[in-house]
Amino acid sequence: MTLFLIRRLQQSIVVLLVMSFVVFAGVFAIGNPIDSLISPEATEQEREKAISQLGLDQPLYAQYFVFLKNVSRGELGTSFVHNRPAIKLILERLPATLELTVAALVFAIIVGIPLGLLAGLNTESLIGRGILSSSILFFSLPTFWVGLMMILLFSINLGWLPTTGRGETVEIWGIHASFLTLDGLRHLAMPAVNLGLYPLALIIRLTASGTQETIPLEYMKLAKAKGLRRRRIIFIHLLKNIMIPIVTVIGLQFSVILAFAVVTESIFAWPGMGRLIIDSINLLDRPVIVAYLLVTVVVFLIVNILVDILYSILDPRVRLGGM
Amino acid sequence: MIKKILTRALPVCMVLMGAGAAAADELTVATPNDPSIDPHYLYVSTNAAYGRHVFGKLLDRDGDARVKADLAVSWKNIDEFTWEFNLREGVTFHDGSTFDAEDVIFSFNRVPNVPNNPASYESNTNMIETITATGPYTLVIKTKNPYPLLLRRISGVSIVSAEAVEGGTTADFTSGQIAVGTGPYKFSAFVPGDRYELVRNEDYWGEQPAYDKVIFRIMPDPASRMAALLGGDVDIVEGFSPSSVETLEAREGFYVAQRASARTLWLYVDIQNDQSPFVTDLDGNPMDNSPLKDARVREAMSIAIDRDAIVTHVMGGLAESANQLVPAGWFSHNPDIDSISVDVKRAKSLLAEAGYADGFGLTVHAPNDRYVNDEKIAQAVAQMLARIGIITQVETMPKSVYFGRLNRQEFSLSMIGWDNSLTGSSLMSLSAAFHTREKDRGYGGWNAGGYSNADFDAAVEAAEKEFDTVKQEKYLNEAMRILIQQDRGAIPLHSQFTILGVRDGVRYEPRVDEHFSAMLAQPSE
Repeated sequence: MTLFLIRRLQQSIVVLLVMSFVVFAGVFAIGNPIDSLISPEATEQEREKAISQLGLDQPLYAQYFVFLKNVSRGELGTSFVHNRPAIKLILERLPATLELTVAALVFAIIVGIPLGLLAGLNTESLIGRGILSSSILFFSLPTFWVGLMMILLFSINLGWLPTTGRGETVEIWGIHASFLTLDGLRHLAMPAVNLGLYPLALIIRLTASGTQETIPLEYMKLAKAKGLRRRRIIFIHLLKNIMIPIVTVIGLQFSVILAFAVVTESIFAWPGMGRLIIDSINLLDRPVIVAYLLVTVVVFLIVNILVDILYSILDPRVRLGGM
Repeated sequence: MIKKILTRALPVCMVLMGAGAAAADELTVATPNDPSIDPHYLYVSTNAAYGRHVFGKLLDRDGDARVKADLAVSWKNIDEFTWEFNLREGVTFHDGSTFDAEDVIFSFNRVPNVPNNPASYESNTNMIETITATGPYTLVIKTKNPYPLLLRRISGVSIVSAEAVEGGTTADFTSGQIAVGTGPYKFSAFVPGDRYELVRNEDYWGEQPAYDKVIFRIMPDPASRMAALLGGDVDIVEGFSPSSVETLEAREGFYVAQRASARTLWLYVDIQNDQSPFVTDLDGNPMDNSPLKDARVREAMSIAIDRDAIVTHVMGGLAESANQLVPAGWFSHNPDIDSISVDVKRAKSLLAEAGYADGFGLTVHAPNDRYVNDEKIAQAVAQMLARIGIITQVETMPKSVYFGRLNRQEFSLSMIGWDNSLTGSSLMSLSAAFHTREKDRGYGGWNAGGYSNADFDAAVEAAEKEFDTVKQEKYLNEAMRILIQQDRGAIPLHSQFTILGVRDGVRYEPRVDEHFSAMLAQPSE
C-alpha cells in the first residue's frame, strides 16, 4: 500500500509537470490578455507598460521559469481580471461545484442502480426495455437543451422552482453550503438533475449489463440452489460483483463533472468553478487557466487513487502493489 | 387528484413567486459581467458602470454623455494649462468620514499605481502634471499640455476615501472592507460569479435612487438571463440578445427598453501595405499591389454595402445606418458628408476604372463575441462585396484573440465598434484609430488600417487643443471629411442600440454609453 502510494505520487508529479508545460505553452500561443482587456483609449505606451508590468513581454521559457519558481513557493499566480491569487479564486468556487457534483451523482446513483437492476433482471419485459431505451435519451440529449427545457417547464410554465442561481447558504466549518436550506434545495434540484442525467444513463446501462452477465454465472446458481433469499442474492452476491465497473465510472464521472460542469453552471447561473474557467478562457486570464487545469489534474489523480483503493476493498483479488 | 392539487397549488405558487419579484423596494438585475469592486482596477466599460453606483467622481457624464457636476460644484480655466475646481462640502463617505480635497488627490495618485493592472484607468490622469489642494475644498489641476478634454477625462477617476484605502489592495475592495465611496449606493455583499448586492446610501448628497436595494445577478448565458426574466426571478436583463426581442415583446408583462447608443461600427481597410495579408487575386495568389490602396476600390466597397439591409435584417431594426464614425445628432457629426446609398453598378464601374473589373479575393475579419451580431454582420458584408466581384471570405474569432491581431495590423478588412461617449465627439476615435501611429505622442494606438494623412493629423491635433467648442467641432468635421469623403479611409456601417429586457412595473431609461445604472430605474406604478 505504501509502496503503491509512493509510486503513484511520483507519477503524479511528472504528470503535473508535463501538464503545466502543455497548458502554459497552449495559453501562450492563443494570445495576449492585454489586447482584449485594455481600453481602446489607452495609448501604445500604456499598453507596453501594462504588458511589461505583468511580465508578458518575456519569452515563453522565461515566463514558464518564473511560473515554476512561484509554484515552488506555493503561488500559482494572480488573476489578471480579479487581481487576487488564482488558487484562492478556484478554491472559493469549489464548494458550490462540489455540492452540485455530489448532488448530481447521488441522484444518479440512487435512481440509476435500482433502475439498472430492474432493467437487468427483466430484460424481456416492457419495463426493462423502457428503462434501457430511455437511458439512451439521457445520453444523447444535449445538456444545455435539457437544462433550458427544464427551466421552461418547471420555472416558467409551472412556476415550481426558481429559474437559476444558487439559493440561500448556511456556513458550516467556514464553507457556504446551500443544500441545508429549503431555498437552497429548490435552487439545487434542477441543475443537479440536469448534470446527473449523463452519469445516470451510464450507471443504468452498466448495472443492467453487469446484472445480465452475472446472473448465469455458477456462483449465482449455487446461491439460488442453496435456497438463499432473492433479496440477499441480488443485493449481496450480484451487486457486490458488478460494482467494480460502476465505481470506476462514478469515480471518473465525479472528476469530469467537478472540473467541467461548465454547461450546466452557465445555464443555471451556478457560481461554480466551471463558470470560472470559461470566463477566464474568454478573457485569457492566463494564471487562472493554468491554475485551474492543474487543480483539475490533481483532482483526477486523487480520485483515481481512491478508486484503485476502493477496488481492493470491493474485490480482494486486486492487489494494489502490483498496479 | 393530482390535477386537483396542481390547479389549487399553482396559483398559490405563482402569487408567492410574483410577490417576491414585485417588491418595489428591491431591483434585481441579470448581467453577464463580473464586477471589479476596486474602481481603479481594470478599466472596462462594465466596471465603469458598476463603479458609478458606489463611487463619486469630480465630474461625471449623464445618460446623454454630457458633463455633469458630481463632487465638484464649479470649475474654471485659469489659463490653458490650469484648472480650478471647487468641491462639494458636507459630503461623507459610506463609512462616515468626510470628503475633502485630500481624498481627490489620493484617488488621482492611486489610479496609475494599482499593481498588476492589465487595463489601467491612467489614460484619464496621465495628462495631469500636478494636482494640488489650495484649501480643503479647492483644487488646482495643471496639465502637461493644453487639454480641453480634461473635464470629460476626469469622469474616469472614481474618488475613494484616503483614510480607508491608504495601503489597501484590490482584494480588500473585493471583500468589501474598503469599498467606501460617496455614491448613491453602498456595498452590501459580493459573491464572485454569483451576485453583487448594493443598498441605498441614505446620506447621499444628491437625489435618492428609487430602489432600496439592488442585486446584480451575474449570469453569463443569454438564454438563462431571458429565462430568469420570464420566470420572475429578475426585473431587468442587461446584454439582452436581439434575437429574443420579438419573443419578449410578444409576451404579456414585459417590454424591451432600447436606445441608440454611442457605439458606431466601421471597417478598417488596410491602406498601408503593398502586399496586404488577406488580399488575393481570383486564383487565391497573393497580390503585389494591393487594390485596397486605391481610393476608388474603397469607395466601391463602401457603396456596395447595403447598410439599410443590415439594419433591417441582421440587426432586426435595432441599429441606425452610419455614414461616418459618430451617430447622427452628435456633437462633431459632419452634416456635409453625403449619405452612402447602395449603387452596385457604380461600384462595379469604379472597380473597373481602378483596373479590377473582374474583382479580387479578400477576407473580412471580425470578433464573434464583442458586438451585437458581429459575426452575422461580417457575413452580410462579405456577401454584399461578392456582388461586385470581390470574393470575400469571413473569418471570425473570440475577442481575446481578435483584438491583438487587429492591433498588429494583421488583417486587410476588419471590424471594430467604437464607443464615442467618453469624449462625446469623434475626437477619440479619430486620434486613436486614424491619426498616424506616433507612439511617443500617444497617437494612432489603434490605427489598424495604417491610415496616414498629414492634413488629417493636423486637424485632429488642432481639435484636441481647442477650448472653443465651435472651433473644435469645425476641426473635427474637417478631419472626418478628409477621412471619410476624401480618402475613404474607413467604411462606416451602423450605430448599434442598447437593448434591455424589462419587466412591466419597472421603468428604465438606457444610457447612451450602454452603461447600466440602477439610478435610472423606477417603479412605474
